[in-house]
Amino acid sequence: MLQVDGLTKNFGGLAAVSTVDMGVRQGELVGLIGPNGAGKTTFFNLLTGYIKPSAGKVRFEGKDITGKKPHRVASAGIVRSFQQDNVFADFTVLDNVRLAHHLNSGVNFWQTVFSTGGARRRERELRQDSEEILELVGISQLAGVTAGSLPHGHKRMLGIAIALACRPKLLLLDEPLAGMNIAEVDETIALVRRLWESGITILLIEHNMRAAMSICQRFSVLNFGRKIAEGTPDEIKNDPEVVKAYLGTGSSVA
Amino acid sequence: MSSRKLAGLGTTILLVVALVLVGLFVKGPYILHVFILIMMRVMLASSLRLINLSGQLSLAHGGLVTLGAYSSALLAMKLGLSTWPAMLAAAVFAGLVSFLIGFPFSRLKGIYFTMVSIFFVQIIVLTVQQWRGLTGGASGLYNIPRPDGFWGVEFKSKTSFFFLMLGLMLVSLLIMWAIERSRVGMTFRGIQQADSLAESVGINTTGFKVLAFSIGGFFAGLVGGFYAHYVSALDPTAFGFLFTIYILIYMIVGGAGSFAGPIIGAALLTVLPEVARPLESYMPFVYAAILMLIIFLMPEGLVGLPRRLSRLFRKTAKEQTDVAG
Repeated sequence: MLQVDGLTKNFGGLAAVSTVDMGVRQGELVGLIGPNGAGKTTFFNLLTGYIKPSAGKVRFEGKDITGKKPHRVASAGIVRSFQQDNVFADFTVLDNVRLAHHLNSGVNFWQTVFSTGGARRRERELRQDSEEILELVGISQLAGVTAGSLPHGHKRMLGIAIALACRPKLLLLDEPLAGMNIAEVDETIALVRRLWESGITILLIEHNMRAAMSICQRFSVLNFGRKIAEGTPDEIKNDPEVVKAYLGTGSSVA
Repeated sequence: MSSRKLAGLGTTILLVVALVLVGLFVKGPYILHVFILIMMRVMLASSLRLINLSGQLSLAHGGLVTLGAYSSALLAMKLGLSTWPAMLAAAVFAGLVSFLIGFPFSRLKGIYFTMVSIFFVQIIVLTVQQWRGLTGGASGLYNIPRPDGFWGVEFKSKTSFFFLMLGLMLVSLLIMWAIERSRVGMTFRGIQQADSLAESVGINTTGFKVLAFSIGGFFAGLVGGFYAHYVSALDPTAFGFLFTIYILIYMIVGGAGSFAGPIIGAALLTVLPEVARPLESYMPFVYAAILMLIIFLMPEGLVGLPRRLSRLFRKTAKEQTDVAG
């Protein structure tokens, strides 16, 4: 489904991401892990067009999407979540998700400005769809709350709801568990699993290794912008390169 | 219908009726002129706010008004176009120019966008000043034809121009209100709040920013076209940098966060220099002082005043009961 070949980004002399190859097949739940500064978020930014790659190719469902603008990548079916600035702060939670239905709103400029019957009917449907997404994510009780005033965990959940409104084929989650408390972590893991089971292919950046190990089928590991390992959770755990990247060298592994 | 909506609708109807009554019964040309100025500035400040909704603080408005005014005047004078199509063409032209400059401009964000938009005003003003063969240069244009009469209405009296401007303003505000309340307006506001996030859900943020800028430019051009045929004379510096800043001040002082804000701001700050004639030469200073006071004390603008007062009142009432209890 997603095929990345030799993706590279140089910032000045520094290679933030260097000749990374990676593939995600339809229906997979893949983890992308690595120590801080390994280039994971940069990799996401390259995939989704926020940063233009220095070299390499990104193909999605056979189409070349290398360096396409973010909104084009989204309409191709790849939607990402953000770690920061992940909600429309002045809108209510419900309106956040309503706006995120942009791609499948099916209402053109004149219809919405003149508020035609068709447009109003469609907006009612979208409102209902949005409520269902909030239900699925588990924050439907917050529909009327201003998004900017939500606590961190709920903001992250809303961020996922926003991404879901785009009906993604491939969902890129950037550390969905960061900053969450234990209960929220469990909820979010359950949610990610539900989304995956509902047929969305997921690529997940995560720092929480235990959580990532519990849901991902397969991992790619980045360190200093290079892919150092790839495989199942067990293979990864025992890979000497990975152990070295996380724990350093020289000392015995406890 | 919620009570807030009802109150808004009621106020709107009252204001429109009041304006119609002013037009019918007030005969003093000076008062009517002030009202016409207010309505022009309401249109400008509101259209500036429409652009601002999409997260772009534009200061190109003076240039677009100048463009509209000169285009309409020249179309009527040099090409002999009838005044109404000339005005419309001028508005479309200003919108089109906004559209074209919108693409390179919107690549810049925040203050950088604002800065190039200021340069645009200077470029237009200088071009008009230098292109003497076409625009009459610094001495300006005279004897611009008045709008053609229709249905037995002749556009000579202040009253006729008052009603023309009232009609233009109401239709323009209605369109802007419809845009803001629609999914398009929601998209503009989304881009203002988090443009990367908006982009990630498939919104072409550049396209929407340029759209907002073009619509704003259209209305600025329309005001320019009206002005040319109303005053019947133009000079290149009438809508320069300071004018643009005033439009911005109307919007911020009234309250950029609400539809009523620029309307209130433009009305009050147009009346102010008229009632405070002795201070006339200090007006830029007074405006600056008002602007700073508003920014520091009431960041949401004059629109927020009633809510602020009621909160203050409730607080003192609560303190009193607390003391009593």
